[in-house]
Amino acid sequence: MNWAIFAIAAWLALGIDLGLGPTLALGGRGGVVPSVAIAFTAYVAMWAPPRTALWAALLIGAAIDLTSELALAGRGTGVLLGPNALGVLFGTQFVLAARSLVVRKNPLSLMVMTTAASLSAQIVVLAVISARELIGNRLGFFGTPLAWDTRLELEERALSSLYSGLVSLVVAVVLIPLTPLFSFVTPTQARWTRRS
Amino acid sequence: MAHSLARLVRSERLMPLAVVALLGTSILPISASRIVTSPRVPLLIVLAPLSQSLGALGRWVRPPAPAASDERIAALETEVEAWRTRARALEAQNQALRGQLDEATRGGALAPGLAIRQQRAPVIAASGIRGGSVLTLRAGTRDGVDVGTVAAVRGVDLLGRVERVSDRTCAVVPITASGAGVLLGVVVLGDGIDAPELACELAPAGDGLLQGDLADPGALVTPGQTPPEVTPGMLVRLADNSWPASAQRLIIGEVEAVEPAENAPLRLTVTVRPRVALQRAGEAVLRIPAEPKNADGGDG
Repeated sequence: MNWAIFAIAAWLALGIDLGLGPTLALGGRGGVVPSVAIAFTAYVAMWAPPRTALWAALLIGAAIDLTSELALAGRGTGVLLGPNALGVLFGTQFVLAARSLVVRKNPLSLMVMTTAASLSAQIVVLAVISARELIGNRLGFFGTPLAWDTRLELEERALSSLYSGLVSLVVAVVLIPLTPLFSFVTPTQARWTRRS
Repeated sequence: MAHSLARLVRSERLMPLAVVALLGTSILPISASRIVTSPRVPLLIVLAPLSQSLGALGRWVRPPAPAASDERIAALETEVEAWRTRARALEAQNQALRGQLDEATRGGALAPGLAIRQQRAPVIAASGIRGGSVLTLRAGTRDGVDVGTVAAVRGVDLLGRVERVSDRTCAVVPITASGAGVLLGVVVLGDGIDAPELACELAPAGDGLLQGDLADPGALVTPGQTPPEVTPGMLVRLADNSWPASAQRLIIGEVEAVEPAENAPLRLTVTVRPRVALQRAGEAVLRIPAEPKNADGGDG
């Protein structure tokens, strides 16, 4: 994969999420927001070799963590590196396992894969943060707890995943024609390269 | 760079190590995680040009405040509110000074006056796991911003206060965000500067609203008189000593509804909606004390 093109596309995806997130948010609280970054990760996972896709997911997930500030219960904010990185990694693993079942050039495939990857990712994020809060609050670790309501988060994240799936249709229309720019090496190509 | 990335990708041992490391950082206390999250600021700076431009585009498509029918009227309304806020702040300051003067005559210290520098700061990211729960502004310690600095929208509408600050950016939790905490305010029962005020205690209620108990209007009048009525549209201003003096009397929002409390029908509950959708604010005004922090009253 061409990592320079990947970096530019990731910058665009994260920039869109940060800049347009509040505008695209559904509901007054702004909780249901699509993620172009996750749609882009699903796209990479559908085309790139597995290990490349996993590293790309880890990088994008870590960037999502670093750009997401969490409100603490009471007062203050904090940043946690890990939950989204692990979540997106898990979502990518799901896409890698299922990508042979879909037609990669069909935008609907990216829609299905983005929804599934996002749902998988959010389950991991919820599990990691909820476990952190549960254990932390019981044992008094981790300092100030987060302003965290698991039921509400589950609801918002599930809806956000569906919304991301819808938005990924637009992402697919833009990215699929640009696929040659990324210079993805498919397993078949890699085999032929090794022989020659 | 491409070669080192390719080598990194090919490495078989690094991925499990990365996963274990990320699990570790996920359970770090927030205070300790600052070291591992230090790339956040450079990352936000790299993303800022794009996110800021797209944010501006988004606000043009979906403005956070209802569009005024006439720009001149809107400007005048803002100016009137700014003067009202200033008059009320002066009134509050006057009262505080009178109290301090009383104390001074008994040997107490007299605090110096309040001087505020207003610094405009664009919102470069509305982040947070629930999109928009924290706003990142492009102003930091090098601009004089400190933890606790008050942020307003359109100069007079309270946005929140700075909770984290770095050299170039700072994070503000809007008063309507779930982690923002409780605010003490007053409902202004009229338009005049000397209009009576009724205390209320507000907490974030979701959907960008604040909700809480309202003091008994009957307490404002002598027994037998009709108590003043709290009606939708009345302004609610901050009157909370846990906030800096530079935030006092800023507008929290407008009364949206007043209804009896669910558990105690004799008590009133007020619902307040900020006049601007705070989570979608495009720019904030930071009210930085021009004097040393201990002159700012409140907790600074």
